[in-house]
Amino acid sequence: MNGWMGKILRVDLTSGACSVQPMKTSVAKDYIGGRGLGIYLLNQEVDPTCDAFSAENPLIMATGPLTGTGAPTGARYMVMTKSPLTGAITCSNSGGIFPTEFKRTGYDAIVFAGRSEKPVYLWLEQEKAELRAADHLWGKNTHQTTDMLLAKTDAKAKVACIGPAGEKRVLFASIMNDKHRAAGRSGVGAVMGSKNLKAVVVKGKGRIPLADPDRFKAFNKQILGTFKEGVKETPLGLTVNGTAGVVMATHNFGVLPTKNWQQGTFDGWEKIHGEELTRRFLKKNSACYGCPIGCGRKTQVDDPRFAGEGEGPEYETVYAMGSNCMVDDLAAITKANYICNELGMDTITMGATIACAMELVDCGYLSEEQVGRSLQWGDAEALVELTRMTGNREGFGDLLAEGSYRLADRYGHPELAPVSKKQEFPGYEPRGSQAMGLAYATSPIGGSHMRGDPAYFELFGVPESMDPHQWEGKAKVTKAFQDLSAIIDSAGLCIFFAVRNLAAKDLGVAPVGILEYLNAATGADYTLDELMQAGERIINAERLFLTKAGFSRKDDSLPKRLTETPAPTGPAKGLVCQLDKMLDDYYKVQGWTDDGIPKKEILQKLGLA
Amino acid sequence: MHIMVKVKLYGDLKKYAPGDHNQFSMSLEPGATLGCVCRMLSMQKGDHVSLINGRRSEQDEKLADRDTLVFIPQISGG
Repeated sequence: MNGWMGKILRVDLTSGACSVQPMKTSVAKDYIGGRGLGIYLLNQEVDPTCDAFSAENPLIMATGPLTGTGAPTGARYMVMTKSPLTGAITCSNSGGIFPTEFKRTGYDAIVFAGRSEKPVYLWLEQEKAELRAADHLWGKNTHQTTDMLLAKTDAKAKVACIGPAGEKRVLFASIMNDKHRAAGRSGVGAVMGSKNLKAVVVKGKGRIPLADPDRFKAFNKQILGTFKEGVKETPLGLTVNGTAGVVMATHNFGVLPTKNWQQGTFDGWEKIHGEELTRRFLKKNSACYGCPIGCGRKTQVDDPRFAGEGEGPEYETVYAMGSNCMVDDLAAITKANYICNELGMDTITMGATIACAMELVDCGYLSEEQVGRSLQWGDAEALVELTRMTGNREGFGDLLAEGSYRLADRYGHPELAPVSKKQEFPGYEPRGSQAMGLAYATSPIGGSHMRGDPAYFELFGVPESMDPHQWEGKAKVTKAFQDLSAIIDSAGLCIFFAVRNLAAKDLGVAPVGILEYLNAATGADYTLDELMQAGERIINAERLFLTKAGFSRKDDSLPKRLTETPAPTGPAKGLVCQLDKMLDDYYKVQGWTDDGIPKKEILQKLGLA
Repeated sequence: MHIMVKVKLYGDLKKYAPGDHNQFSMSLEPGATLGCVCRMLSMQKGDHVSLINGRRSEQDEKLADRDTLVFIPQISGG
């Protein structure tokens, strides 16, 4: 095979046996890789009704056919499993260098099955897989773990691991790779911890074979040339201020979630904006493998209260821990972000859960005595301290470790949790960004912006702008973006480059550039229709898993705060998110029943019946 | 009668401000468009996104008294 390595490694953690399975050509073409391969394998492996922490729930890591090829941003891998936070699937995505190194060992994917009795890590050196004892690593944070493993194995190896949060099954624990990159969402780290798998260490020398290297190189030159020409005059905002630069846009559009999603504007936004991060803490940019953007931030905080160094924060972290908690202290946000990376936790769910706790206290549903400390809006020290306590499941942190839905439900007010399918939303307010509400509600992982990102057409004007306040016509475009995201995630690319540079410049966003890259890399001769259908197939295969796990329209939901309470401030003042109307349209566009179940016709068309 | 609009310039766009402040008011002829304001401030095309009262707006949109115009650099990703 070309583009694909053609092999899947299966690691049985219960018995310790490692075996190799060939990747079928038809599966590769139909599901592309990464996210698509992940859902194909998950559907093969497990009953969707299983307990996420049971040994039968596999943990799947999958690269895409463009991972490591040199295609711009072709740096990513996907972690697929059943989520302990949502009960739906995870598809938690990360970049860095680890995914490329992993693919160079000769495998497209690893399936971890069963559960080890004792802590172990996988040492994978050029096709040779070995489970090794990890008792000495248990309890270590992600940075310590990485350093110890590199010293033990090979300084040039790459590490993905969990921290104490994953070991203690914090329901939103992440898997960190290259120390600072996160497969952050939906609790993939908790599943890894439940398997007693501390880390995956990879060292690969293999070349990634390309079907037509000349064709690939020529197209790469063309795409990178156009990109570089475009940013010559005005560098990309992402390069200059990182993703945190988006604060300026979301506040001014009135969609910066603030005070646990009560409003979409934050008076202190200029103190937490990317420009401030650049001015105060940035040491230098960092980039994933093959990325011409370099949105990563190497930062350092000297303020003695919150001193530390690491990477980030990203926009999502700044919203969740900043405006959403009414915290305008960027040093504290950055410190809490470092703690999340070191203990191995998702910053979105962490910040959103603390904000939810702040509102529970504000409303008198939860007392500060129960929390064990003060917890008022804007309390920067509480943010940092509770983040640390959560990663260690210490004191009140043990309740925060369950996420906002379970916390709010425990105190009798689940409606205060900013979630869909029990997963917290990223930082775009659906009352002022209607399609984002639809995307949150219908995402297969619960609240997420990365499974089809309507901010592109509602806020960024890419490929063209649609009025963010109108709901009509959003279902079709949202579906097109969701299908595109499935293709991007499966190919091994990053959404930041692909949406602008590798999709058609109309709201159908046909993946024209990805098509050329995939055909040059794999020789699979995809037609545009076949590739777009692969995107649909992946979305429907995921929906089938959710359907079997008991999900339907009732779960494609948003809190009443967003659908019934009009926005109180900003440009979206007076609006609610018209989710129900959009859902009716959306299911029709998808070929699903009014209850959100894929119909036989669409499943037959996609070969899923 | 003239109309008054409030203008806010953020990021690099502060360089287009007529004085030291990135937020100021402008007095315009009735019927003035967003494009008129951009020309008066000598703003380059393509380096910014324009919002009238928080909504993305095009150059030919007419302005009303007490509108707030926000200009932010081109946005990408998030």
